[in-house]
Amino acid sequence: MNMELQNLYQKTMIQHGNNPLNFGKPQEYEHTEEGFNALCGDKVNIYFRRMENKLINFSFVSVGCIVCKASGSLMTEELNNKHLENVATSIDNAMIGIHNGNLKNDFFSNDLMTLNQIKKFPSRLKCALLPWETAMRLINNMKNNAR
Amino acid sequence: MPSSNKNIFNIDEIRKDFPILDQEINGAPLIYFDNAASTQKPKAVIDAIKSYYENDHSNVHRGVHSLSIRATDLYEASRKKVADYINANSTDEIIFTKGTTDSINLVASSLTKSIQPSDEIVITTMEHHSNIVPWQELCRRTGASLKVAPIDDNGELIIDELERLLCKDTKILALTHTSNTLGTINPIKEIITMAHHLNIKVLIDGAQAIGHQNIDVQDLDCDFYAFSGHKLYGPTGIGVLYGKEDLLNELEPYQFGGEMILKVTFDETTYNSLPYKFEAGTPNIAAAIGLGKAIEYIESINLNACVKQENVVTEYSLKKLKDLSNIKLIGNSENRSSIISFTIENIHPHDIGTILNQRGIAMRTGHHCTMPLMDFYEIPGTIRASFSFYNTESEVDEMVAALQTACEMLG
Ligand SMILES: Cc1ncc(COP(=O)(O)O)c(C=O)c1O
Repeated sequence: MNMELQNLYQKTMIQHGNNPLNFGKPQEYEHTEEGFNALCGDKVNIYFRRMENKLINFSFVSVGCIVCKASGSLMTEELNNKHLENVATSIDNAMIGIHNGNLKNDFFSNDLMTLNQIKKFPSRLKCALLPWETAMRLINNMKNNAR
Repeated sequence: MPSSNKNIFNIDEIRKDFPILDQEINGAPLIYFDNAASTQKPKAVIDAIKSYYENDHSNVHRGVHSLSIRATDLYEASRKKVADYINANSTDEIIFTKGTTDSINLVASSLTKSIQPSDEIVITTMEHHSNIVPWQELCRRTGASLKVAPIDDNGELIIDELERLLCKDTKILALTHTSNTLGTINPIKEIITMAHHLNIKVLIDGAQAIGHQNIDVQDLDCDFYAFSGHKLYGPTGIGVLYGKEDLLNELEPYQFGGEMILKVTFDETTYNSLPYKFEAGTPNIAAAIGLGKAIEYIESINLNACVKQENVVTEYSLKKLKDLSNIKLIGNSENRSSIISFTIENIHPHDIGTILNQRGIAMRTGHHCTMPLMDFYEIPGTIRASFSFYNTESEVDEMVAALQTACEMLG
């Protein structure tokens, strides 16, 4: 078995991909956004609520592949309960890190490091980025609406 | 290799005609199972394009100098080859376009002025986006309505339902000859006859049929037939619209400029005759020549032998795939082409595609530009193997082994 492939589909990726955390449409949510990858038909919906200056109940639904679902699972874990001020920076850093394959565990959780493997599979970058891009759009929409 | 492969044609020799096949991807020999997306090019086609640019290139239909005459002769000889290949009545019925999409857009755009708000256009559930969107746009421009003929779970058109949809208001029936996702070959000859009883014109999207069966446009009696050169072992950037001469004469041109005119003053322009009326601007001369060469190549190895080989590999693959417990075929038409779509329980097609690629296997995963069809089956996409005559049963064995690995890895 090819090493790179094994690195991509390692345990963390498979676990989060096949049994994603924070998966499902919550009964109550205030903000939601849909992301779509026209290339492969993958779809992601992101939900959260705002409580004072924190984002809570971060969750998602996806008909995407393992990479997309694992990324969504890891992302919602990462962003849940984050301060509104920091969340956009976190998303930005994560997207750059996924792109360059250099996410660091002094900033992010250990599990998120599994997304560093995507760089070697350029055709799958979009799958990993889709939840993050969608979350970013949702946060920007929320900020714009608040103005 | 199983013995059924013998006595057809010498596949090892045939494969040598396609230089691209001789390479490794990720350390494994390339297995090219994405022929429905685009076919590979025989050396004869590549050489013809090179030779044209090295020896004969100039603009066509323009000059009195030798190169222009040579380029024009080669370009027009290709048109003749296409006309003969699909048994058109005359070369005037062969319009060179950029491809199937361009051909369908040509008809949909050119019809604009002749469509009324009360008119209807009928397509089917299994159409490629390029045989949906141009008609949607035509309806948007004219106020006409788009009707969609349904399919059954096997991926076959429900002919009775189609017949019910066709009426005196139907102006155009546009449907695919062979589905690029399901592999279904539609009984278009019967459908065309049915539509003609109601005076409905029929456009056939032949993108997936060309090169995989004999096409005789006169026997089919279709009004328009569209296909792409790159799916017929020819270059990209060239395609064909066949249209019955009287219909093409009635149609308005859809692009305007050089080549398509006879006489221009600032007050008035007279359009050129067929087929030039629809070929505004300098065409893709080299690609047209390449397409002619591709047809010559197919004829030299014999299309029937090619189809036979494709059927052997398709049958073998269907049998092998059916043995895998967690695989579901999408499309089970009786009359099918060398395209097989399937899903694997609980595993997204995209992940499979990556694992196959790591073993050198090029297969398409996703919606295959048929999103409404994916909605019908309530799936995000499929994994698709599409074969050509240069594919073998041992390649299918590799695919099956890779699928098994993928299931173990991802399940
Ligand atoms: C059935 C069908 N129609 C139309 C097309 C569009 O062909 P092209 O992209 O060459 O214009 C394709 C290509 O995939 C196809 O399979």
